[in-house]
Amino acid sequence: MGARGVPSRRAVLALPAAGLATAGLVTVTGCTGSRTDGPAEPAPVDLAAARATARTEHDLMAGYDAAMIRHPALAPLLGGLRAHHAQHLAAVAAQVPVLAAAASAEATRSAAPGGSTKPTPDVSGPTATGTPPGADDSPAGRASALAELAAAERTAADAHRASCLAATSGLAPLLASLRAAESCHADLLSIAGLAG
Amino acid sequence: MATIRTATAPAAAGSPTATLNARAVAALSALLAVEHAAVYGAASAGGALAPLGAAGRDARGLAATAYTAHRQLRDALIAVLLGADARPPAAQPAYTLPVSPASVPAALTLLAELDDRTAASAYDAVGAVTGPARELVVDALAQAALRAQRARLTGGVAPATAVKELPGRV
Repeated sequence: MGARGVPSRRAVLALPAAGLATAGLVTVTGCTGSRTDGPAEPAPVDLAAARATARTEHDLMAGYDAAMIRHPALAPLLGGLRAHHAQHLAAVAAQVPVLAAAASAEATRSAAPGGSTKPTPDVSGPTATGTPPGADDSPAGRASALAELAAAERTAADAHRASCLAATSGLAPLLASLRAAESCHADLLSIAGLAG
Repeated sequence: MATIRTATAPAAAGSPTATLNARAVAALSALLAVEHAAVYGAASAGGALAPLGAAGRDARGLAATAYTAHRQLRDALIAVLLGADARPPAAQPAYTLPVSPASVPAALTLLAELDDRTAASAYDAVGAVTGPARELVVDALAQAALRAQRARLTGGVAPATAVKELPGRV
């Protein structure tokens, strides 16, 4: 994720002939290498935003963990999304080094990015031994879990958006991307809930 | 043409009192250039899908949504730039498409690519602007990421692959 320089994505669609002022625009869009990894001393507003964002990501991960324990059949989808949140946390910590210690502790706990330590997919039904007592692993229970996670993602997206609007130019792009990511997660979970 | 209000066009975005520094003008102009190309590309996708019947129905819906959204973002960006006495770049007469929308899957790939480019350009603009202009590009990033994801899902891409961990950035 740190590897920048994907010119094709940033380039305007190939322009016919050498176009007017557009040459200058392409140059502008290509200057992504100047993006900094964040100052050593973050602005107070960024520090507050980064801390709030880290908390949000932690809470989301906890929500996914709980849902995967209750509904092992959902692990293939939820494990991937949970891994995104671990990466979000790492990205925030990379930009606001004060948070790095907390994030590396988390990374150690959730060692495998693919979630291989998570509950494995189990389609044997609600009576599976891995299902904790009291958990409703019925289709309705799974749909409800997906809806809850989708709502949590939407709430997180709104929080990231607000943080982004207040943040400095150093942290704002990452927060904007996190907001988009959580919106996409919410959409995916809603679709999975309808299909489920 | 009648405009359909969405979150991509906050009322204050075109405020004539807005001032933009050179970096903001450059970033918004770059995003506008991407949007000109996206309007063209989404229209091409819709036109290619038009005669494909029921098989292309879902993709046609996505193309129409993308066309409308890219036009709205284009117009909102132009309003912001004109409001700051900057000169918005005009569209080219034609663009080379990254994918030829000759089939339903190809059209969906094109739509996803167009929105990935919008997301990337919006991401690049976020740090260059503040206030209503930042709201505009932040919301544009999220909406482009959502459309790209839906195009991938409709094209049969697995959910785990359709979703990006950091839209606009990776």
